[in-house]
Amino acid sequence: MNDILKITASLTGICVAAALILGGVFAKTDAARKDIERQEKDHTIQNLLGFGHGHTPPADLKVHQVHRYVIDQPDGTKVLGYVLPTKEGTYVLATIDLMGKPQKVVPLQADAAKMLEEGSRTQAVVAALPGSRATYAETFFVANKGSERLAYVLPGVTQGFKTYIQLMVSVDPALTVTGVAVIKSEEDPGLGDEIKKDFFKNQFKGKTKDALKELKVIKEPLPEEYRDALEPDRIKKKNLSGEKVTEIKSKHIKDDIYALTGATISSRALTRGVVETVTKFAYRLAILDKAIKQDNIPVSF
Amino acid sequence: MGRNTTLLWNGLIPENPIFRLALSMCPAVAVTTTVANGFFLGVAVIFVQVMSSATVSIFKKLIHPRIRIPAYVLVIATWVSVIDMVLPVVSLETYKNVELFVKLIVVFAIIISRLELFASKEPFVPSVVDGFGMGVGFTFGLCLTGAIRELLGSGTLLAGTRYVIDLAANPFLVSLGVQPLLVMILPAGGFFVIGFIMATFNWVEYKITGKIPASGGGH
Amino acid sequence: MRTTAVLGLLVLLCAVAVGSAFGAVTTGSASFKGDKGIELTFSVPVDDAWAKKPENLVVYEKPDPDIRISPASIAVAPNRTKVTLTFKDALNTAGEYVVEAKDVSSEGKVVGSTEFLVKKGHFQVLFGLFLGASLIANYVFTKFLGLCIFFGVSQKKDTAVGMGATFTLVMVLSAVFCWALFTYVLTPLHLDFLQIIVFIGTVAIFVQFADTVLRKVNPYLFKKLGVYLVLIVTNCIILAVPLENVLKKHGAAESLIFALGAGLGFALALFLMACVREKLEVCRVPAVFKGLPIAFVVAGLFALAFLGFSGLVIF
Repeated sequence: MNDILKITASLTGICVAAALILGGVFAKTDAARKDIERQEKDHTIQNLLGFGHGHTPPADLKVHQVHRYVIDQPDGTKVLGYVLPTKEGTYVLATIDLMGKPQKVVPLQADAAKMLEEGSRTQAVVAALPGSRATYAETFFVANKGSERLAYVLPGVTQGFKTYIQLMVSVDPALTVTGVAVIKSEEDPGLGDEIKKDFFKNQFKGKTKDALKELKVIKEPLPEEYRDALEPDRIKKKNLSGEKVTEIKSKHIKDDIYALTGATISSRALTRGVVETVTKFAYRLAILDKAIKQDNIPVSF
Repeated sequence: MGRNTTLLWNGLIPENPIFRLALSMCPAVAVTTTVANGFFLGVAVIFVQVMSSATVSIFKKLIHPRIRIPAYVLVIATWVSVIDMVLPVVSLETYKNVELFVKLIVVFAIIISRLELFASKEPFVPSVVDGFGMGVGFTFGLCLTGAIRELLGSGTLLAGTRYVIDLAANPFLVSLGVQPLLVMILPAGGFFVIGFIMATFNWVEYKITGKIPASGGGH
Repeated sequence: MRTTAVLGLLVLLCAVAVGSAFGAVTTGSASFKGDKGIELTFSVPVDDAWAKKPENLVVYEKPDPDIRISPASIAVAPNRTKVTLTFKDALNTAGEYVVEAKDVSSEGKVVGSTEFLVKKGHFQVLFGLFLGASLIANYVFTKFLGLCIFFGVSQKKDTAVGMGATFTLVMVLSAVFCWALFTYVLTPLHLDFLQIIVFIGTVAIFVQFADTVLRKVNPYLFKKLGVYLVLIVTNCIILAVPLENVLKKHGAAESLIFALGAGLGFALALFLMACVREKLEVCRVPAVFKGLPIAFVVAGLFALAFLGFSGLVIF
């Protein structure tokens, strides 16, 4: 009997002590972890915009977020809802029907802190449209230099060799690709995982919106000089001048995407992801810009 | 050599957890595609091993012999949860590569075996030193395997270390400039490399003592 | 009396009319056909002329209702209940598509609109998961978990089979239990950060439970399998599977199938390895390679072979 008591007491003691320690550490690290995750994302966006690794971004660079929702209205129809930041620092929700006709603009009761968390943001959206159901779709970023739009950074997802590949594409205002980043993927190391390498993903740089529509993946070896120009490490090692790099790149700008050896499926998957992300965005941006102009929404970007 | 030095040395080579005791080999194969990953997990193991050894050696009088295994598991699980929450704050990028294995430190046989065989009988200081030695030996094993695999498989060494130690210019980055051996970073490469390192350890021991050590067991 | 009869008849007629209009809505089904086609099955025969008009069938991916995908060709089967849409580009069969059929016309009459949700069948998803856990991403050969036991218990075929069976059983039980604990206890209480402790505790309890029950119920089986039970606690796979279930947000059935696949995959690996090691006993292996080193090299060869399963899709 004494033993049972002792055993129970010591096990309970361990459990309580463990729970206390864990609770304490969790409270300390949770906020820091979320912060780091956010920083990581900012870092990726900065890199895509070309301001990573020693290139300091201009002082008046601002990155704005636009959130897209799919809204089920009470009458059974669907519309798209865009959460847009305004010049005064408030937020509005602009709804656009599926055929691309602007519907209405409603102000949102939320501040910047509420906008960061998906849960509270969705609540604000639903509160602005009583009776509707809102499903969060995606967030894209608009980078501004002063009042002029510098670039867009778009999230995308595509079916890879095993699971989904999450990616981000940056495009300039004319919707020409300026960078591609793979955020999350589970491709085979050494094979499909090479899609993360500069010599593959930099092939997308400079492909225009129209070029993407015709873009194919070809099973040919990547020309050596093109590879040199694609990899910053090689440019440094071979001392290629800026003009030489531009010359090589412009020579190959019309080329299709050279597939990775032994990983054609992953190469096709990423290509498809980039093409679809940009094409869909191009379609939506035209509609959104028209809506912004028509309703005179004072957006901050 | 003092006793503490002997304990440290023991963990590093003569009783290296991976190559000699053949304990906790799962991460040794899985996360060693680069040195950085191996080092990162190694640090986590050192932390858990030292903290658990210290905890058990302080409270060994209070732990009833009948429940020592569940008690040890609880102690280890607590420290693993702590490091699992701290590491992503240190380096999110590398943590993502080894996330599953950080959580799995709970079931690493090396840790519980050191608690059972050493920390539960010895005083505080030797327990901590023994834990540290074992952890360092484990890290050494991971880094060695990682270095061989990275060098042969990707043709680099210490790539990505700027996430662990900030070396923006990466002065240690060694690029061999030859076509790397793909198989080395594929899953199979890990098995090959560890098999060959074990054989090398056996060979060295044979040269020194004239005997081939028996290593047929596994536990 | 007569009014009631007339009323009754009216109600019945209405019910039939409503039923036929909604029949199409509720009983239609759709599935992928290959990776470029969608097959729609209507509950009523539809008109050829109606089906051939592309604007009557609106197709889009579920998250992108504003971006329509137009089919390259539309074919109607002879019995006119099956309509096959073929597209120029491959569809993403892992995603979900919606097909809106507007004003479905049957025998010249409009019978109402309907909406189809096209996605992979539940069985297909589960089978894919099973295949993934057992062969494609075999825990031993591609994720290197459970190596301690794998090298420790693979010297003889019959011990390998015993271990494999016991392990699979405990694996499935504890994975499902862990899933339930996580979904119904830890998540509502916001105690996710306790998952490691809770999961390892659950596994330990199940091993102890299996040990006690087996000892009393079937002493013969216990004598054969009892040794392995204790070893299971040091097998990484048993903790990795519940953790992955949480990480990949699996449901109850998916957790069960995933655990079953992982367990059987481990059993398969163990059996294959035991077959080779029995033969190795009589081989002349260089002295320094005897025992574990050669076993590692053999495992490496197996891992190479298992790489061949990568990307295997049956459905």
